[in-house]
Amino acid sequence: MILLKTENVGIKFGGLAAVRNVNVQIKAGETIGLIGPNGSGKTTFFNLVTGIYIPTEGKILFEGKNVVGLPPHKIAENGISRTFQNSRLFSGLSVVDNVLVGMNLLQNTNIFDSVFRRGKVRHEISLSIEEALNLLGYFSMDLVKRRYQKVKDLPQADKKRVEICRAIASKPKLLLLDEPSAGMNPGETSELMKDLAKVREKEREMSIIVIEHDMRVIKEIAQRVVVLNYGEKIFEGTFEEASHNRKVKEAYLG
Amino acid sequence: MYKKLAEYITVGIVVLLLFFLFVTFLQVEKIDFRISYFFIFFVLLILFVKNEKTKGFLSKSFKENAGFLYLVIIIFLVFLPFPLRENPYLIHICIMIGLYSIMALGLNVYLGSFGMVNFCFGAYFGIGAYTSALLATNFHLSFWITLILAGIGGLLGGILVSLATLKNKGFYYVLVTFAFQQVFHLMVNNLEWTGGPDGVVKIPFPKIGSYSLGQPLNLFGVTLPFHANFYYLTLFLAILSILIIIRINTSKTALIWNAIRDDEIAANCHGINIFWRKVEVGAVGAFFGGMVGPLYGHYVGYISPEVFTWEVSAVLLSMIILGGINNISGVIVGVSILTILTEKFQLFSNYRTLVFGLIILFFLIFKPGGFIPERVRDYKGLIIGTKLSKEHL
Repeated sequence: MILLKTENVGIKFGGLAAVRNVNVQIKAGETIGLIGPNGSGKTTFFNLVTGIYIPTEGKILFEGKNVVGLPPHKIAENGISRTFQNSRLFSGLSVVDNVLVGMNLLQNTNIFDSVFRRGKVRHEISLSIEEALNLLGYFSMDLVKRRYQKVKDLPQADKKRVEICRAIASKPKLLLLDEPSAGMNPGETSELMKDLAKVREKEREMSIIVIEHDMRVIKEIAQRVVVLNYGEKIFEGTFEEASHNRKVKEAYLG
Repeated sequence: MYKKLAEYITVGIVVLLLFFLFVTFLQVEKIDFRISYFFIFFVLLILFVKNEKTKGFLSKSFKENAGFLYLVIIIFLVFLPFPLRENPYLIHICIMIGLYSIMALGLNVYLGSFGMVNFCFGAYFGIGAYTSALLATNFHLSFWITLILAGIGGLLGGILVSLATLKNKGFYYVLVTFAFQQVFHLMVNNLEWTGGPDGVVKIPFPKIGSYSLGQPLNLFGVTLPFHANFYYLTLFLAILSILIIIRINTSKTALIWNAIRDDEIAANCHGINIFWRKVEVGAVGAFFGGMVGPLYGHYVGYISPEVFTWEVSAVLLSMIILGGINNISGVIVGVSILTILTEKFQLFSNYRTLVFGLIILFFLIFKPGGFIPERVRDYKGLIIGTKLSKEHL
């Protein structure tokens, strides 16, 4: 089953086409690597899919439905979740609170319940916290120990972990990871690869698109790579094929 | 068993001392021997905190007996008018602390939970006061009905401002709220049916059955001035407001507000509807502003436009910044300190805004969290029916 399909999607900022005619398809349970040089439109592509930018051309079909023009929270409700290149955690909140915010789509108490129906609120919070701690513990027991620390005090690798936890807490169908290894040393990157393998194992039905500059990560987890250059797709295929492709070598792999 | 009793007694004595100092501070008019009480108290405090053993005992007693602490505080608050009955002006100060507390908690919803500075809180306050005063003088509606209508009036004002600023952020939001404040002030100042610059006069005292709140109160054989009626009314509504705010703060709603405060785009990408939440925050904060309006109007007996200016917001902001942003006890401490200082030093009333400006500057530079800074949420008292062990919370 095809989960996400973009048809000739593109966006222009003024005269500059940041993304142009990109066609990508992803099936349920598949992992795709999105690579390309800096400024080739990878993050812009994510922003188009999550609704932060509205494409000026083309269609984005999610489960067969066109999601172009929907605001980001509607797209998130449909089941697309993402992380950001420079982690955008809720820096004033604790580790467990960040994950709880990620779960808000699965919760259904509103402000009237908060004031008048405490039983319902307490029941929901209890279930959510149990789930959030289980999720954090699945990646690292250290994070469970530090659950009441503000996230701004965490080391970089843990910040990325919390961000991934927050993104998968809502049980999305499609997860977009924007350079999870940015700012990590090789040791931390290896840890990250283990974490991503764990994500894969936990949510087998979930599709993942990952932007990455570290080719070890791509080689390890991606079944297919899509290469962008100057906003256009120049290659699609397995990593092996990509590393032998002349165009890809010229543009990116060198 | 004895240990628990010792903890209770410690809490009781400390709260008693604090209240004693509070009453003394209210009563001191010029420099006299009672000033020395404060020095004695501070020396004692420093001695206790210096010693690790007593410090540990003190903090343990306060942390583990929170319920008892609140009970003691409420009992003391109930009996507060008795030592002050000779001088109704002192009870008036306490009423003002209560009114400002409710408003500051409302403004804190914007500033602390949502991270937006709002400069039209005076307008919400005014909407409430005018709604109630006009309904009471023209249609002779009961205070208890106009109180609710005033809250709803403020709430609608808040929703209006939120709808007008849906796309504005930061600085531009502040400007729009400021504009709304000025529009409100000019309107009540110039419209005929609001009484123009004279405002509304002869606002009747509220009544409970046939008992008017304007007559002296007889309690346990002691006659208290009529201010005590309003003191108890304010106390009741302030406690109610605090309970509502606590319930909101310990639920998903406030967590989502905080998430938007920290990163709007990330929150939006996790399924949070920013527009709707902005309306929600606007309504909740303004409700408390509107609710205080009738309390003030029916207590003082008249209202005029010059009360409801942008300065209300400025005063409330400095109280919140001084006490502690997004911390209920911090906000109340800030309100108490600044209200007493301004009422005590009427002499300097011309320099009031200057002093408040300096306070804001000082705290933002040296202690951005205020006296009692915001705390990280913990979920100790909330968890029910899970397999989580105690040390997990």
